[in-house]
Amino acid sequence: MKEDQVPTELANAPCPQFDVQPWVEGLPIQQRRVALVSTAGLMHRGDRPFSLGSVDYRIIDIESDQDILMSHVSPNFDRSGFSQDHNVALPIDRLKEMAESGEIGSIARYHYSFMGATEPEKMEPAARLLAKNLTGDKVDLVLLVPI
Amino acid sequence: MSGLAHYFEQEGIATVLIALIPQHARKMKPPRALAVPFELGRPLGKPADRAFQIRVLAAAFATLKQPGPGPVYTEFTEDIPATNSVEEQLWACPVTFVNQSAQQGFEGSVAEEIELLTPWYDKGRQTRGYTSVGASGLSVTEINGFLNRFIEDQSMQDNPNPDLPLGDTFKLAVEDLKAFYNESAAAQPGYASSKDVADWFWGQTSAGNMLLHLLLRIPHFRFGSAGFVTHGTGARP
Repeated sequence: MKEDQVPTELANAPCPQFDVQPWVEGLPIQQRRVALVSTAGLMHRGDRPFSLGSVDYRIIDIESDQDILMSHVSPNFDRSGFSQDHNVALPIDRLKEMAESGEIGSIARYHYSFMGATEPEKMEPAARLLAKNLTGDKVDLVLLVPI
Repeated sequence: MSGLAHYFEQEGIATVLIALIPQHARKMKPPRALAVPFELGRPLGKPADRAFQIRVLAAAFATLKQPGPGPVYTEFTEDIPATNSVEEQLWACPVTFVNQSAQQGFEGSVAEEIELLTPWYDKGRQTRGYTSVGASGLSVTEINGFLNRFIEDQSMQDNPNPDLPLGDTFKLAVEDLKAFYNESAAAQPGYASSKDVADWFWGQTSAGNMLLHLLLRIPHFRFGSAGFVTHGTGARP
């Protein structure tokens, strides 16, 4: 959002602070394997929907023929854009195109969605475990996309 | 979202974050962030605009070129492209509805709307190859009946999806109904902004009227703090 359009209550919401500032170097983007991690509460048709307080994630398989649905509990954001084009929140088709054109190295098969209404500290255990899966999948860049 | 960036990077995986709330990104200091000026729900800016979405992604990935240690914080300053074709400029829902009042009942008029919109919904689904409707596990016709049973009896406990708690079924059913209308609207000629769609849904449809009616009458404690009809309702009740 434009900074001056963020409601004061939201802008001033308490945020967790971190004692260390991590920094991972790596290859040029043209050689990286990229995975998306969304907080839009996304899932494939047939997956278990998110509910209030969910701290886990769902797997988005770009080879699946199941639709991608949104089960985020918050009503406080626009969903009409996602209904029209899921790339506006989960740009998997754009990443495929960038991989085909060589702008990025490759796109992972599996991508992931949390539900951002949950406090980040509560997602930490699942996120750290997910990091091991990503490493095993040779992902060396995560693109984090909010909602 | 910034917290996830810290956790992944601490585990050895580089991250790039698209930030929708710049104040939060600056406070939480993820390693690399691109703040974007777009509305919540549209982190890539504009649906169905491939070139624009690619520019957002390219700007996000450009943060990788900056030397560490972070945090690297940059801003995407390009606004959503103005509509530039006659076709894009002229969005108007060609389906005319009768916006029923609570006294007349909603189920019949919403059923008529669903029938009138279904060809557009089907067209959009065929064009895209997917649909975002269905998280509740119910059809829109079932959703219409389910929500109207709530209007008639707010103590109702019948859950049409036994795999979910009643409150979750209710919430997802509402979002599915909205998604059906959103997809149907987006399939019609012209470019519809989120405001266009919201004004139409909440102001001109019986479904929007029905949800506002429910919002005023269903006690929030039944469904926790997860409200269901605030975005885009503006100053309406």
